[in-house]
Parts: sequence; structure tokens; C-alpha cells
Amino acid sequence: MFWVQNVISLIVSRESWLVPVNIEWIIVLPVFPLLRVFITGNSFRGLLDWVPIALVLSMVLVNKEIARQRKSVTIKS
Amino acid sequence: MIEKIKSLNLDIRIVMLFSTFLLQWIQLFNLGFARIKIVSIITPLVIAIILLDKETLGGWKKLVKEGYYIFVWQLVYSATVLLSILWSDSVNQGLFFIIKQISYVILGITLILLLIRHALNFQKAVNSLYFASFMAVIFFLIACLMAPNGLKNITGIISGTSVDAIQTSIRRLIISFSSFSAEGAKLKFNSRHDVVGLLILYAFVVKSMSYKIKKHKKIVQPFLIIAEFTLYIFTGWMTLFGLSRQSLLSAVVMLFVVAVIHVVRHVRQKKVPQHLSKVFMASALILLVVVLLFSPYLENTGKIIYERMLLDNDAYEGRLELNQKAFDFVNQYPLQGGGAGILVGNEDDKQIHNFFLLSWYQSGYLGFRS
Repeated sequence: MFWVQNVISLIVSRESWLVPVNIEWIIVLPVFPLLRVFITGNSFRGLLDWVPIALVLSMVLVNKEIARQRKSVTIKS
Repeated sequence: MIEKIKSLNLDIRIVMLFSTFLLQWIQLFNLGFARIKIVSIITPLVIAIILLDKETLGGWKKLVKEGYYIFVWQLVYSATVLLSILWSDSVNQGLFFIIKQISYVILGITLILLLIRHALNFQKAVNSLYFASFMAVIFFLIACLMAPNGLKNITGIISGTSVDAIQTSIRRLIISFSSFSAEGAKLKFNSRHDVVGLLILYAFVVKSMSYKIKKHKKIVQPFLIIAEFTLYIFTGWMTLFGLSRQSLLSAVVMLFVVAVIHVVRHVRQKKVPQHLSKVFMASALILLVVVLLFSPYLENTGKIIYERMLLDNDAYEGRLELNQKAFDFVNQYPLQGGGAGILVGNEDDKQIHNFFLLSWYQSGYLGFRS
């Protein structure tokens, strides 16, 4: 649900994503472990399954941090 | 030389953190390191990086203060696994499992803290990641060449044809971050899914960061070429030869989702969708249709989806059987589990392929819940 929510927010307002990367290429990454689970039954056994999830979560965190830092800069100025 | 490295605008802590991964390939050098539990070297090194850098240490302190519930969760989980060691037949494996989990958490959180620090100057983080991944590729190739069988290791990994002990060892070292010894790796395993999967992930990440190519052309260009090659040519090659069906299908679906996001966004902005999006969408759709239509008749990508739809048990390559055995364990010891480190199969490689089920049958209901 968290992932779907973020994908929708990306589609609805690109402006909410402040991370300076093409975020759509990152946000799709959790599809990878999901399909691996479906096809092979593998589920979070190795780095390959954790890395996409970790990348998306860290991007969400980085995004929040940018928003926070920008806000504090605006308040100071 | 030092001046040149400085001009790359790198965060040396990110590079160092990633370099700890490289240490595991030393085991391949056949110099007597095979039996070392590599996590026991990596974990102290990561902790040293944290302790030596005031900012990282500060970030950790802040995280512990504000996000203590993450650590409470991790501690409960570790405690349940540790407790289940008491009735385990395989104490060493269980202890190693806990150490591995904790080192994953420490490494992951430190990396995220370092990335967040460069939130407003993300290019520095990106450059460091590029530099570290470039070093990883070079170091991995050297390690493969120095290991027994030399060049054959590399071709074997890509083609999936040469399945032997050293290949299994390489696969485990790269992907599972474990300390598997070359002597112990006597079982057959095919590493193509993991290698191809990692390449696809790499391609997507590099694609996402290609926005500043003009500014840092010299650094980004080689990686971008590899990424484009991986994404467009390598995935096509895999379709034809069915090298890694799961990775291919994932790549297609991921491209499709990217295309949908592109198109919907452009439609919302009342612009004509970009040419690239159309190509992505069309190619992904055609591939999916081909895969689904011809799946029952081809020994290729789609067959496996067809088998899943019919719930053909033989197609699971014995994994359903392993799942069944794991559930038997759960039924037998519902609360306490079978004990950390125990295996459902008779051989080392016959392990359960599901992290959550593994937690359940090894550490019981508490471990599963936490």
C-alpha cells in the first residue's frame, strides 16, 4: 500500500518529489522482488530482494529530508 | 592522482562503506581465506567507519533517540532467534544468522544516513556510488580471474553453463553476503538469475540518475553505456534464450510501469506523451502478449507463468515440498520453532526460499511476528 501510495503521488504531483533523480526509475524497483516471489517462491533471501526495497525507502527518506531542509532554509531567510 | 580523485567530488565514507563488500571476494583468491567468516571482518569495519566519523555517529545517536522503535523491533527479533538457539541442533548456523542480520541492519542504516546528509547535494552521493560500483566490478573481475578456472568463472556465471563449486561460491559471496567457503560449495547452483537481476537493478538505478550527464559526463558516460546495454540489449538477449525468465519478466513489467507513469503524467499535463514512453509501453505490451500467448508451447519465458497459472506443482522444482516440510516444523513446534540455524532439507543447499517462513519454522511464532 505504501508503494502504491507513492506511485500515485508521483503520477498526481511530480512536484512532491524533490529528490534530484528520475524517480520513476527507482519507484518501480519493488516490482522486482514481488515478481520473484510470484515466479520462483524466493522471498527476501538475498541482497537482490532487499536492495530494491531499501533504495525506494531511502529515496522516500531523502525526499522528506530535502523538504525539511528547504523549509528550514526558507524560515531562516 | 590524489588531486584527480579529489576532483571527482566523492564522499569517501560512502566509497569506504561499499568497499567493505569487496572484502568478501578475497575469499576467491584461493590464498587460504576460504574458511574466514567474512561478516566478522565487515561488521567491525563498518562500526569503525561510524565511530571515526563524528557526523555519522551523531546521525546514529539521533536515530536511536527519535526512531528507537526500529531498534526495539530488531532487538525483539534478534532475541527470539537467540532464544531459539537453545533448542537448536545447529548453533553455529544460528549464531551466524543473527550476526548476518545485524550487519545488514547496521550497513543499511549507515548508508541511508550518509545518503540523507547529501540530500541537497545529491550529486556527491551519486558520484560516490558510481565510483564504488566501478571499483566493485573491477575487483570482482580480478577475483574471478585469480580463482581456480580463471576466465571460465566469468563466462560460466553469464551463461549458466559451467556449474561447479567455485561458481556456487562466487554466487553466494556476491549475492548473499555470506561466508561460504569454496570447499563447502559442492552443490550445483545456477547463478544467472542473481547476476542478471543485479544488472537489471543497476541499469534502472543508473537510468534514474542520468539527468546530470552533461555536468559530469566523464564519470557517468561509461556506466550509462553499460546500463543502456543491459536494459535494451541484454534483456532482449535473455528473451530469446530464456536465460533468466524471472528477471526478464520483472524488467518488462518495470518498464511497463515506468511507461505508464510517463504517459499518465504527460496526459495530465496535456502534453503529447514522449516518444520514449510510447516505445517502452509498446515493447513491454508486445513482449507480455507474446509471452502469454506462446507460453504453453515454448520452453521459454512464458512457460513458467503458464505453469503458475495452472498451479503445476512440478514446476516449483521441489520448493513446494520444502515449504510443506517447513510448515510441518511449524505444526510440530508452533511456539518455539525448530531452533535457529536448522535446515528443512537434508543438504546445505536445500534450504527454504522464503525469509518469513524461515523465521517462522526456526524461531517460532514470536520470531515470525517480530
